[in-house]
Amino acid sequence: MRAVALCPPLLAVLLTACGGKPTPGPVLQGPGRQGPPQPPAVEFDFGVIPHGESRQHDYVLDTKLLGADYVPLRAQLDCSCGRAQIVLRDKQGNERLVDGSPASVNAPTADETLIARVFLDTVTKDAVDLPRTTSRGSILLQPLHDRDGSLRVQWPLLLHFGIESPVELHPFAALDFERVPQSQRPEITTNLRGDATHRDLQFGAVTCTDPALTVTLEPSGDHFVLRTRCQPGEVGNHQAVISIATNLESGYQVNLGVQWKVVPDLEARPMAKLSFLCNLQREQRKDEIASQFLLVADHDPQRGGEFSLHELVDDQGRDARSSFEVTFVPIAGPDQQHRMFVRYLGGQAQGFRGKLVLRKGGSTGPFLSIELVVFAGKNP
Amino acid sequence: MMTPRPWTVPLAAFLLASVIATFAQCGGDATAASPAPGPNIAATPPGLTQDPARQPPIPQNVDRVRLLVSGAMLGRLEPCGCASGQLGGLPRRMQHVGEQSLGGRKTYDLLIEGGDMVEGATELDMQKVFTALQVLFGMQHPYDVLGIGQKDLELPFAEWTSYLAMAPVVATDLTSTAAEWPGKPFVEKQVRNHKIRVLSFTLALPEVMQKEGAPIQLLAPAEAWKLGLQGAEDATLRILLVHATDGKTRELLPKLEPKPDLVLCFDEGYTEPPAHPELLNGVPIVYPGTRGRMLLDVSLARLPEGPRAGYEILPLQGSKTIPGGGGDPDTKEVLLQHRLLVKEDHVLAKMANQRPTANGATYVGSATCAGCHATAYDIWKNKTKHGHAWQTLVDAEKDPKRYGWPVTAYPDCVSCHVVGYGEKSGFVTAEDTPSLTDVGCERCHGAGSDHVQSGGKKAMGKVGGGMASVVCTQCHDFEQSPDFLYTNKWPLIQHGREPGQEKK
Repeated sequence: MRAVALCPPLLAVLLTACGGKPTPGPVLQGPGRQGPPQPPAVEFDFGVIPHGESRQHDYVLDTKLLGADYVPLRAQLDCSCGRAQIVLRDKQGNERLVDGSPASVNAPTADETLIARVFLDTVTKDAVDLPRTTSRGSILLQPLHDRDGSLRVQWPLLLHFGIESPVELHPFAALDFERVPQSQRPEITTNLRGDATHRDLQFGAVTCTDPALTVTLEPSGDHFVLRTRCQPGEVGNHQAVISIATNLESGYQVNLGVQWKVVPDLEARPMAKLSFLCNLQREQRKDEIASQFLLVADHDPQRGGEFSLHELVDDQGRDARSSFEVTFVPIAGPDQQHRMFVRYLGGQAQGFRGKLVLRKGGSTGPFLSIELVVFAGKNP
Repeated sequence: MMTPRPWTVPLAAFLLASVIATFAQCGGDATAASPAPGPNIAATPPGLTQDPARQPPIPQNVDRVRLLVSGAMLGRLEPCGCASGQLGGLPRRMQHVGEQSLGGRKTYDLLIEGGDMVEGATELDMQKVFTALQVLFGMQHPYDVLGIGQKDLELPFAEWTSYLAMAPVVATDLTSTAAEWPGKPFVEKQVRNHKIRVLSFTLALPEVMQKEGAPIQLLAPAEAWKLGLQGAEDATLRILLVHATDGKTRELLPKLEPKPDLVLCFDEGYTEPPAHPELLNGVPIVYPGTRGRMLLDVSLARLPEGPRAGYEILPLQGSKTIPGGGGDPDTKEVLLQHRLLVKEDHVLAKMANQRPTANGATYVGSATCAGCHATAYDIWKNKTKHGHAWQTLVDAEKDPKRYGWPVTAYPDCVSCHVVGYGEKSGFVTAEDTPSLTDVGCERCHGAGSDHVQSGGKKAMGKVGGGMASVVCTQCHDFEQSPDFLYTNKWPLIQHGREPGQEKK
C-alpha cells in the first residue's frame, strides 16, 4: 500500500485530468427542488474466483439515465478485497481518470463513456472458500450545476462472486501464537491437503518472511503437516507470511499469515497498570474488590520463589504502603500466575497516582513495576 | 518494519498501468473506499474556493510528520463479528501500532484519537469508554491526544471526567468551572525539529450541556483559536480536530487566522475516508470516517507555498496475511474482561425498559400473533432465520472459534436478536421475557397490544415498499449485513395475509 512512482505518460494523463475549476452556477436551495434521480443498480457476476487470482470488470454506466450532466467523483466498494476506479473512455478507446473534484473537466464529454473499473484481488484473503455472495459498491456523482453537493447521486454496483481455495487447512488458515514469553519456543501444527477437487495437489518449497519462525513441511498419509516454531525475538507485536509452493499450473502458492506477540517472562496482564474508582473517605470492603486485580505471571519455569510487594510509592516517591493492601491468590497452571488484588485502606485525599513494585524470589529480584491509579468516586 | 508481500504477482502491463493510475489518483491504496456523501454538505462560503485537484506528494527530501488517525469509534470497540469481512476494532489497531513500534523505533510521531468514542450515555457506554481509554492511553503504546466530541459530552460528567484523567485531553473551545475537567486548550509535542500543536473544536454543545448550571461552556471559534495558539511560534504545525459536519467545518475555516496546517473533520456522514485529503483555500482537510474501521497514516509538512498532506489508508482487516490483521492479544484480553464485566454487572437487564415503544403500545410476543396469523407465524418460525435468531446467538456464544464470550449478555448483540430491547415492555433477559426472544413479529411491525385489543382493527406497521427499510437497517447495516438489499432478502422472510384475509 505504498505510493507508486508515476510513469511520465500516465502523469501527463493525470495532469490533463486535473486542473479544472468548480463550475460556476446557481446554488440550489433545498425546499421545492426535485429529488436526485435513483439510477438502477448495475450488476456483474465474477463467478467463483480461484483463491490467489484476481478479476477485473468494467461496469458501463449509461449517464443518459440521469437526465443531466453529472461529474463522477468517487467509487467505493464494500468488499475488503476489491477496489474500484472511475475511468472515462472515448470512442477510440483512450481512457482518462478523474481527480475527485466536481469540476467540469471531470464530466464525461459526449464522446466518452463512464466506466467503473472494479478489481477483485483474492490474494489478500485467507486461503478459505467464500460461498457465493453479493457485495455492493457505488459511484458518487454530482450534477455540474450543483455547487454544494446536495444533489449528489449514488449509482449502485452489485458484485456477485465467490472464492474457491484449492487447499484445505486445519485447524486454521492463519496462525496466531498469541502471546509468546521470551523463554518459550511454541510450535503450531497445521495440516494441509488439496480440497475435494484438488486431491492430488502437491506442496513444495516453504518460505517465510521472518527468520524468527522455523517452518518445516512433511507428508503424512493423505495430507501434509506444516510445523511452525516461534523463536521469540524482541518484545512486541510481530507479523509474517509463510508461503508454500504448489504444483498447480497457475503457480498458486498458499499464504498463511502468522502473528505473535513477544512478552517478557515476568509480566502483569492485561497491562502493567491497575486503575480503579473508589470512595477515598473510607477503607474498601473486601467484597468491593472482586474486579480490582491484575494477573501477574512468571513464565520462566526454571525460576522459583514467590511474588511479594517490594515497594509502593506515589508519583513523588513517597511510601504509600499504609494506604493499600496487596494480596496474591495463586492460579493453578504452568505459568506461576497469581491474581494480585489491591485494596484501598484509606489515607489519600484526592486520588492516587504511583506505582507498586513486585519482587520474585529473593531481595535481588527480578522486579516487576506496575502503575497504580485510584480515582475518587462518589459511591457511599 | 512492514513485512514485504512476496506473493505480489506482476500483472499484465495494462492492468499494472491501471493499478498505478489508481494509486496515483488516490495517493494510497485504492481499496480505500470513498465516503458516502455527507448528509449536511453546505455551500462553499463566499470568498472560498474548493481547490480542484489534490496536492502533489511531499518531496522526498522534506521531513514530514507522520500521524496515525482513525475515525470516531462510536462504540465499536471491535466488529461484532456477525458478518465476515468487517473492518476495524481496537485489537487490530493496536496490533498495527505494535508492529510499527518494534525495537523502540516509532513509525508514527503522533497517535490521535479524535473523540466520540461511544454513541450514547448508557452504563454500557461508560464501560466502553473506560475500556477504550485503558487500551489507548494505558497500555504499551499510549496515544498522544484525545479530542472531545459532542457525544462524549452527554456522558455522566463526573464519572467520565474521572476516567479522562488517564488521557491527554484537548478541548480548545470548551471551558469548565469543574475542578476535575481535564481538557486543555492544546496539546503540544516536539517531533525532531518540529513543534506540533493539536487543537480541538467541538463547535456545539449537546442539550444536556446547554442547561443552566451545566459544567461545560462553549467558546466562540475565533476566541478559542486565539487561546489555543497562545505562545505558539509561527513555525509550529497547527493541527485542528473538528467535530462537526463538513459544511460547518468549511464555514469555520475562514474565521481562523493563522490558518491551520491540517484539519481532521469528524463528520459522521463520511463513513469512510476519501482517497486523498480535500483542500480548502490551501488547507488540507481529512475525513477519517466512522467506527474506527480504517487507519490513516497521514504525512504532513509545511512547505514555502503552504501546508501539504497526504495519507495512506490502512483498512483494519481480520486476515492475518495483511499487516495489522488479527489483533493484539493483550487488547483482546482487555476487551474480554470488559465483556465479562458487562455480564457480571447485569448491564443487559439494567438497560432494558428504558424508553417508550415507538407506537405507544406494549409488546405481546409472537405467540400471541399466531392466534390470528397462523400461516405467517409458521413461516416465520420454521422457514426464516428470524424465527431462531436467539438460538443463533446462543450457538455463537458456545462456539469458541467464533466468540467464546457471553454474547447473550451483551446489549449490542442482543438487541438484534430479540424484540423491543431497551423499550418499555420489551425484552429484558431470556429468563424474564422468553416470549420476546428471536426477531419476532413485533420487531418489524411494532408493539402489538393495541392491535390485539382492537381485534385487529388498529393496523400494525408495515415494512417494505421496494426500498430498504429503516427497520431492517437498524441491524442489517453496511457492516453487519454488507450484502443486504431489501429486495433480495425479502423473499427469505416473505409472509403475508392468512388464507381468506383480503386486502382492504
